[in-house]
Amino acid sequence: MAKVLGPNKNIQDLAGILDGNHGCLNSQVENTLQQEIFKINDVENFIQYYQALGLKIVNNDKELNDRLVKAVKSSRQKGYHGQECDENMPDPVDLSQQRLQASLKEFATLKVSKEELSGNPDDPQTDSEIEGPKTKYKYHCKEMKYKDSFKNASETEWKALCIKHYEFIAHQLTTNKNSKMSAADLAKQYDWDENNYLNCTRAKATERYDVLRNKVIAMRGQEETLALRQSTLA
Amino acid sequence: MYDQKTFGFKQLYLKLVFEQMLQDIPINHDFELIYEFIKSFGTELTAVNIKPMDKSSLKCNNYWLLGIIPKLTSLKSLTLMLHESIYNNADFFKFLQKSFQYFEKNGGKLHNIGFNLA
Repeated sequence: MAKVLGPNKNIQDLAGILDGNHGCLNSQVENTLQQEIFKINDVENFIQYYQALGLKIVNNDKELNDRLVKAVKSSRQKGYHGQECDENMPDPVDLSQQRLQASLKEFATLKVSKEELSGNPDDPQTDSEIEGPKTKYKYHCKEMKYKDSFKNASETEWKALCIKHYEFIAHQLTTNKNSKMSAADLAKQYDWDENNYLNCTRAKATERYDVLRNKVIAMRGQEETLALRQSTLA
Repeated sequence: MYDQKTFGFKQLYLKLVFEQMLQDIPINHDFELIYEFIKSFGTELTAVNIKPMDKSSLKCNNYWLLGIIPKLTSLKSLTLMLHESIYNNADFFKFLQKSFQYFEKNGGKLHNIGFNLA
């Protein structure tokens, strides 16, 4: 949206443009959209793909490999794919429980019971044609308390846990640049990443728009609508 | 928001685990785990980020706000990370307001509240 319409525009603005022009996009937006689509067709590898998405550019094959492996793992963990084609893949609920319990069991003792759920024929998720007759479980946590060994754990022990379970902390604390970052600084950085890296802010959209505009000018010589239309048609 | 003297790695770890639990609710619907976590370690949760959840994956609609926020009585700083679909969702803000009323009733006192609009 930001790439095509420009910064400070939202879905209402798009609706306004369409309503005001008999349901058609105006020439400028249409041209920009076309240019963006042409760019998608030009993407030939994953390096260009990440670049086109506006994500951090990878510098070498190793980084690219790590990122792709991480993407597949993350996608699998979130249950985005694989259910239909891999019958043996664990249920996303079980994966989520495993993930959370792995973090919790490091410092706490849990009493968790597992209840077997009977399938509901009206529920499309339990359709045996898609997923097979898989047993589903519901987990009930009855009690949670500190492990004896963690009741009076030192800051170093908690730090080791953070490093073990969170990659961004391990990365910060094991590099020479930021090895002395405090927990408060790491929390601030985590919040900043959550707020800015994963979401496209207006400032980021403006920055990307400027980059795009410069590329259009470099490619086409100018950015005027008429000239763009002619060059697009040509 | 994060005091260098009082916010240590213990608080950081518990904050990250708690936020992961919140993120996983639409998948596992496991509120019991969250309630037990708050009961046992809630005193360490002083700064938390909350993202709105996909209502369609929850039977309780936005009621989860009432189930969680009032229990976090040690909370001093709360950041709500909102995206476009929430801006005009009066229902979400109605539940949020109610949850703050119960939070205060339970003895909670917020110093900071942030709305991060993506």
